[in-house]
Amino acid sequence: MVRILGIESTAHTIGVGIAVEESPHIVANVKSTYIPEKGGIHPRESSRYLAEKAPEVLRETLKRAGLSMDDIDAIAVALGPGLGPSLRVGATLARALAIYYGKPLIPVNHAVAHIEIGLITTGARDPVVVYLSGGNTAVIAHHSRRYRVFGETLDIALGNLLDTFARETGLGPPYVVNGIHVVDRCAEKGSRFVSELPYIVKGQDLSFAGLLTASLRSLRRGGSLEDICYTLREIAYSMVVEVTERCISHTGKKEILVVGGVAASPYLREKMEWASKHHRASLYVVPPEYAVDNGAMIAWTGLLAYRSGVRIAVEESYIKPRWRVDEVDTPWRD
Amino acid sequence: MEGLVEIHRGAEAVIYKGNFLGFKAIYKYRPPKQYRSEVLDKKLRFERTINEARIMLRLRLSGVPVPALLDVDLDRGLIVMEYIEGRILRDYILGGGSTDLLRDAGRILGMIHARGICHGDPTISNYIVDNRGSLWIIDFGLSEYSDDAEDQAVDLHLLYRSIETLPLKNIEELKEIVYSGYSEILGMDRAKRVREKVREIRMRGRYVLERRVKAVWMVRGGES
Repeated sequence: MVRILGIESTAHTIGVGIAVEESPHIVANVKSTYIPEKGGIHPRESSRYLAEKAPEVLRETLKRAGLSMDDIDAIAVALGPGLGPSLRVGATLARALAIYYGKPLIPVNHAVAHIEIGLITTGARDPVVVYLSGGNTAVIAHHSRRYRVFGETLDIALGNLLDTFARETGLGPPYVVNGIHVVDRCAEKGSRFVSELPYIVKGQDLSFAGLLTASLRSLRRGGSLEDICYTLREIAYSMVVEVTERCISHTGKKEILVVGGVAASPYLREKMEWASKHHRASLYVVPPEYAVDNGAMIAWTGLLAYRSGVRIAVEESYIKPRWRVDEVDTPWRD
Repeated sequence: MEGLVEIHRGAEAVIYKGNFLGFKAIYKYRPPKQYRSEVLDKKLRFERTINEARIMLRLRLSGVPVPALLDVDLDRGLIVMEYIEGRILRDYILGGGSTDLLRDAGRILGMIHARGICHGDPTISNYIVDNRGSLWIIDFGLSEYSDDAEDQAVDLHLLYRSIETLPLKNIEELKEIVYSGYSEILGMDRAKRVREKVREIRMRGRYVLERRVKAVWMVRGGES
């Protein structure tokens, strides 16, 4: 039985998971997330936190799985994309384990891992993937050996839009309370559509930076925070759904899979449900535990890669802060 | 809208085939979308319908191969236009058709840009090869009046990207064919500027290796 240990530390979460071939595939999944008291994620502070928590998270993962390092066949690690200082924490841990215990090292792309864990936990087979998180907004589909980006943000990500707006207006941090983003929560009290906020879809790509600026300006000019939150959310989510619709009609795929940290939004889900019905497609949303950054998704993707013979030598295991999803071959899907 | 046959369910519109005063016609209908707030939905549908009709008319009258406009119903979000019999360029190429038509695709995009308009979604799924082998361009749902090199570059970028999704080996060559037609219409200097912008836009994409690192200072708390 192949057992893979996966390590995630691309941004503000240190996660370690263990995956096996037998269903339900995930044996353990432990994580710890850095939440700043104020402001955004400072890469140095975040990486300091991750380094501090890493040993504890690793120990807890092995304990919950009832395994020791000797039972592990290989170490998978997310080498990118992400924040350099954070990536180095996971990479250092993974290299050390690989050398000390003499295990092979497997490079995993964080975005590919979000997709793979979405596929295995929802049962989707060949979907249009909507990848939404703090640092990523992309509509992706698999085509000839790789996940291809059909549309993506031309500037900031959806999560970045929501978090920055929350921070600038004092709604956060924390940005997510009980699984609901504070901007979503505030939007519940709004009802009037603020007409001056821009809706920007360019072909299959989208742009949120103008929406952020216009929303903050509208607020400075005396607009109601609730109404602006409502409009901002309406516009941003509708834009994502529209690009998803475009990808569905372009590729003819019959499934939609939503993954990443912003996947959990019930408001987005509602809109996606309507769109999937309209296009006669099935909708899948990754379960919350695997929507946010976690080690299990790295372990699972590492297992797929391991079976296809993917390895990396320790001396070549550089971190890749800007490693695009469409640069990764996926031999396990061919 | 009786006697219409649905032929395509696009991202924002449903396309029907039917008759209009004896002509074979395409009915492009933008149905309300319940997932959007009513105000946003109405605004987007109305704006996009009137905008699309205006631009089609303007291009048609100035000799660009776009379908003739037959009727517009703004309240319903409906445009009726001439039916072009043929195949989508993407299918035509995948079916082994000559890739020389990509030069015409570039030419047509150049003609549109020369008229101060940007298409907004000029992918190879939005060109039609008619039964005589001539190329047409359709779907002006995201078009706008713009002379901005940035917008023109987004157009060219989208056309390139739709070509990159083809499962073919000679992608770079195909893009060069497009560019040759494009620069033939717009002139070398202007086309070159647009192509340079395309490169810039691509570098703005997230996690692009060659993206330039730049420092941005934000001034907080200032008056706007």
